[in-house]
Amino acid sequence: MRYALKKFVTMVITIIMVTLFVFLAFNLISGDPVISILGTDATPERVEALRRELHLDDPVILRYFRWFFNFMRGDMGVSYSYKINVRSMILEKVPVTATMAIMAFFLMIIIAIPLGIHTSKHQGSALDRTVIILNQIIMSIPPFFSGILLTFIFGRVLKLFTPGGYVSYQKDFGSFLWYMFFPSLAIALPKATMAIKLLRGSLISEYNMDYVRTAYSKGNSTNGVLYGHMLKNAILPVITFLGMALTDMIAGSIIVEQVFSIPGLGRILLTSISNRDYPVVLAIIVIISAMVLLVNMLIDIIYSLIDPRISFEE
Amino acid sequence: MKNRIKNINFILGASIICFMALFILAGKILPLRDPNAIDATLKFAKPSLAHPFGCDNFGREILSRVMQGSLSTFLIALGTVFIGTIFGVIIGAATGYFGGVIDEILMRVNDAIFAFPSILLALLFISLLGPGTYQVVIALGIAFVPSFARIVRGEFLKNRNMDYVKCARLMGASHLRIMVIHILPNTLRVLLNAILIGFNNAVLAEASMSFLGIGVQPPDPSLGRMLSEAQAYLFKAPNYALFPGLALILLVLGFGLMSDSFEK
Repeated sequence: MRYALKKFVTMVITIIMVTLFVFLAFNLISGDPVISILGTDATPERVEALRRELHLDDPVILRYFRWFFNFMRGDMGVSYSYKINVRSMILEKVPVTATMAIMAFFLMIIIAIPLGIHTSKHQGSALDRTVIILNQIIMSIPPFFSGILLTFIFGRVLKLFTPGGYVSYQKDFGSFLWYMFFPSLAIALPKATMAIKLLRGSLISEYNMDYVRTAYSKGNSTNGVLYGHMLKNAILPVITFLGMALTDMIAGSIIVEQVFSIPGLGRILLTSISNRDYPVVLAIIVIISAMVLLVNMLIDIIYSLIDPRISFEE
Repeated sequence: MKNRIKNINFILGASIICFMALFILAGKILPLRDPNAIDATLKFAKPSLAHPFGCDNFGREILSRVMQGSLSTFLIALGTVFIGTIFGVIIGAATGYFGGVIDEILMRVNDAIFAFPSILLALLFISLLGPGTYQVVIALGIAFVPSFARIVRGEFLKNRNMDYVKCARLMGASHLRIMVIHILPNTLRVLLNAILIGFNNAVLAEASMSFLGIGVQPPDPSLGRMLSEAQAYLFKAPNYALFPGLALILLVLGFGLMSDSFEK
């Protein structure tokens, strides 16, 4: 419990640091927001009025805290290019990105854990060798290209879904999930191959441990030793990887969204980057960062639950 | 047995990279059509002897575009890894060797950055610097520094109290000399592996950025951008997506196999 609390405090501090850094960076480098809003040919009076309205003459730290507390209250500012509330622009897109990342995560686990266990049990078998070779190849396919391949095979040839036919989750949740299955698969595949490789290697190195021999000598069956004793130890490095994979998936969804033309956070982020619409970019980066940090914290806590040594050591 | 597999991996990976290098070189030497030359009569020409990979939606030669695109992907990856390595080694060596408060602070910052997916960091920098080739090199380079710094720091930390370092110090060698001449060569094996993995990630990251339209700007060819354009004509001209994709996979596969063989 103390460990969880400590991790939570660390996360909050990191979020504050990240937001401070991002806020400062945008304020120092991005230039004058007044010019972005009004254009270069605005009259000095209007510029002055807007500067006062946006509190731009205050010290930057004060502005940061004002922005931070507004953000926490849910007021994310107003978009420069669309002149509407940022919150209404992005809040309904968060579930799209989250669904894709979570679905990809579970797909990865469903693919990786059974295959990892099976191949470590039957080293050198035909399946084992096939998996190793396939792993190396799939690992080298970038998610957006596997997305294109999946669109071609499942969308055009087998006609299992309509490419570009995204259905909003508010309209039809079932069709939404079905459409999201393919982008999620595209993100999950390369991560799954790495997880298989890691789990297989980790299990194989456990086979020679003393405790495994002891467990056998006490009359446990092969499966009893594997699932009752070894898996718990072998899964530890895999869990660290799964956590990193989930955070990568959150970020990776930005790219795969483009392949499957899904209007999620990634779409808005990219248009806002090219429009130099900083309030939107800032809000999206902070939200994605918060998701990433939250995942990291949860992984640390889960890790300490599986391996109690961790929380004692610190 | 294990070593043999590793050697095979290395030879296979190195051959793929050599093949890609020859392929890129061929694009510079052979009298192919200009990658940006437009010809409406060749729009979506099917692969043939005259146009081995076919032509794209503007009638541009896909073969020469893939060659040129592979070159720019490779150069961007090179620049990225270069920035990552140089700054990573300097930061990692200084913090690992001297330790202390600066080490503690820098490593906390490093950990915080490391926890972020590099593509997100690169997007953040791109949104500050604006899209473009050089911006991508800088953005990805900065995003790659923490992973190099972390690896190098670990090695310096391990080596700094070893006997050979103590001996060198007794002989009056300066800190700089110990770091560069004595410790750095001992980190090369780990560093080389990190560089190969870095190449792998940089190629993927560059392609993703170009795919999103914030990397290499048109009309210059890049593998990621070609893939994103090819998507609209997936059924009409699958070869348009296939060849840039294959070039990308070969680059990643080559570096991946080579870095695999360095793992313990």
